[in-house]
Amino acid sequence: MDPKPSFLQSKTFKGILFGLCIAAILLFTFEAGVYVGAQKAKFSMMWSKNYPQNFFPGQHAMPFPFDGTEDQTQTQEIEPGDMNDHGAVGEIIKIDQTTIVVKGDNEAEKNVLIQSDTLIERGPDMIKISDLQTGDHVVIFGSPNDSGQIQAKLVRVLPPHFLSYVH
Amino acid sequence: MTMTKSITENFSRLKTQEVPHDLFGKIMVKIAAKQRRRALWSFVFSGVVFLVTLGSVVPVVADVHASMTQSGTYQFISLMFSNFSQVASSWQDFLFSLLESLPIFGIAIFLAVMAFLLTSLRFISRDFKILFYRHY
Repeated sequence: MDPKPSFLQSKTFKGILFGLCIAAILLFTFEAGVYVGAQKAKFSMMWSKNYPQNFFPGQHAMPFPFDGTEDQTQTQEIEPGDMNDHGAVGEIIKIDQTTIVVKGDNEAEKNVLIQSDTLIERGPDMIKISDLQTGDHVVIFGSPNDSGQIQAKLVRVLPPHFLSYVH
Repeated sequence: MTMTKSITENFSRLKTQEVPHDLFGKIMVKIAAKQRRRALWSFVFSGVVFLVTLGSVVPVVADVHASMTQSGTYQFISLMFSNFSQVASSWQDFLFSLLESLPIFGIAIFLAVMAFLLTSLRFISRDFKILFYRHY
């Protein structure tokens, strides 16, 4: 006669183990989501707080929208959840000595800080910030700082045929 | 003791019932008929789910593609091929930028649609065998 299986070998115990694993995975996933959301919210807050000095340095007034139209009734609706705080994809709309402003589709413009170790590439060639032009489509990744900017690690100018293929 | 004795006596007086010679066959036929009815309903329901999910695959995929295009996911992915060394050296920043560009909700909907599609296909295959291949 076979010995009675112990509780550790039973289906109930297996079910409990399975349930615990599922619960752990769900909780880790939830926590990861909360962490990423908090980072994005913090960046959005810093972006809003530093908007005047990032995009209108030296000015007291803060005209909206940024692209220079005179329509002051337009307001820019920014969804905090939409702001990617570690990267930017879009068109360069302004270039300064150390910063560029990038505007993506359906996203607010972002101030990208170019540092000494930032790699800027157009095709196989390494270029400088002075070689960038407004209207260039770029993809950037980096890390956010407390001034609502993205400190770029890599800036790559996208070729026109890449954009037509993707769209 | 008395009760047990009377029960034994009562049962000994019962006539032996003769089992009909085709009882087993009749029982199996009934079981098969009930299985076929259940399989038919399951087949119809799974078929409807299959057709609905199959029809929704294309718009869901198109929506995910459009979201990934808008958020720049393809551009971030292209960096893995064009600038692998820079991506590897700053992999955490790159990973965050890629993950935050993904249309998570759209991808979740796509996975749910695929799960329903494949599950309904599995049930259709099982019920098809019961309805059209199993004979008693």
